[in-house]
Amino acid sequence: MQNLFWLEDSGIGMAVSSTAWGYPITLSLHAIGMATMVGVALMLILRVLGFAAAIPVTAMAPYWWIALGGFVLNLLSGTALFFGGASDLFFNWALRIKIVLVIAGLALTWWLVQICIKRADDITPTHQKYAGIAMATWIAAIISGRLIGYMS
Amino acid sequence: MDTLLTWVIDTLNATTLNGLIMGNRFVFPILEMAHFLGLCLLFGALLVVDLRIVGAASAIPLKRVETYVRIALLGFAINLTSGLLFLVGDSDRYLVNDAFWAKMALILLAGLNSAYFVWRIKPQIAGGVVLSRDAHVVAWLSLALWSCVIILGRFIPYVEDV
Repeated sequence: MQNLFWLEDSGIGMAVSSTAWGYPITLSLHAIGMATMVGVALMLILRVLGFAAAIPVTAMAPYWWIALGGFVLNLLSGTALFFGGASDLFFNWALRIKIVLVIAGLALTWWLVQICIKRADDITPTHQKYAGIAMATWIAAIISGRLIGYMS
Repeated sequence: MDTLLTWVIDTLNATTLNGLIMGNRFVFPILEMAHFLGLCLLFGALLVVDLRIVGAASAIPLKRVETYVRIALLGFAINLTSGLLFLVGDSDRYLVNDAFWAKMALILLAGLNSAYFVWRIKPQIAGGVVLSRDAHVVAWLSLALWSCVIILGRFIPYVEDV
């Protein structure tokens, strides 16, 4: 608990919680990062599920880096947001579940990129199974993210 | 102007739909989830299309990438619907909010930018010719405008007391 208060009292924690625009600016960056990471991941997943079949699957591979860029932005902005309210957020179950879901979504999408999008234009049912699970995971992550505010 | 605004707010607050949205704990949060999923679909699809136009993922045939515009339209439809329902439910919050009106103005600009894309750039893509220089401007402008739309949406609750 002491450590959580220390995070809140840190420079980043105070900038987020106690300056005029620190919180909405960090929150906005977090929304842009989400739109980039989840948005691009969903576009890759949709292609594997059969959407836009005229586009070769492997041609979509460069977009994975864009999704990762969104993840980095959200790792940084999310850490800052956590510092701003660490003593509450640490005990927030919606946030705990969301973090697990984001890691799972990212790992599943990364795996899909490795076994399919970077490798082969032939999509197998196994690829599509991964894609379906990854899509459900991202949607669940968004839902639990929205619930954080309602649980604190 | 103020009487018109008051009339609009009072009228919306008196609707049955207003009660359905605000009279329980579930509908508003579910609409928020839909709005966030919609923005991911809209922005993710635009990243695919716009970044391809400015030169990323050049292995994708330019003619084919346009298919993703459909996902952007789906995302926009989800957010137009959920957004209108927010408005019916909580108009006294949004209609007096500067960030809300700035967001609406930028959505209008993004719409005009899309119209220009359909009018000038789409025929070039369909014809398979080298894209004119304004294609890059339209693509970057699209990403910049929608980023600002997302930012202004997030600012709505924080400009209320300014």
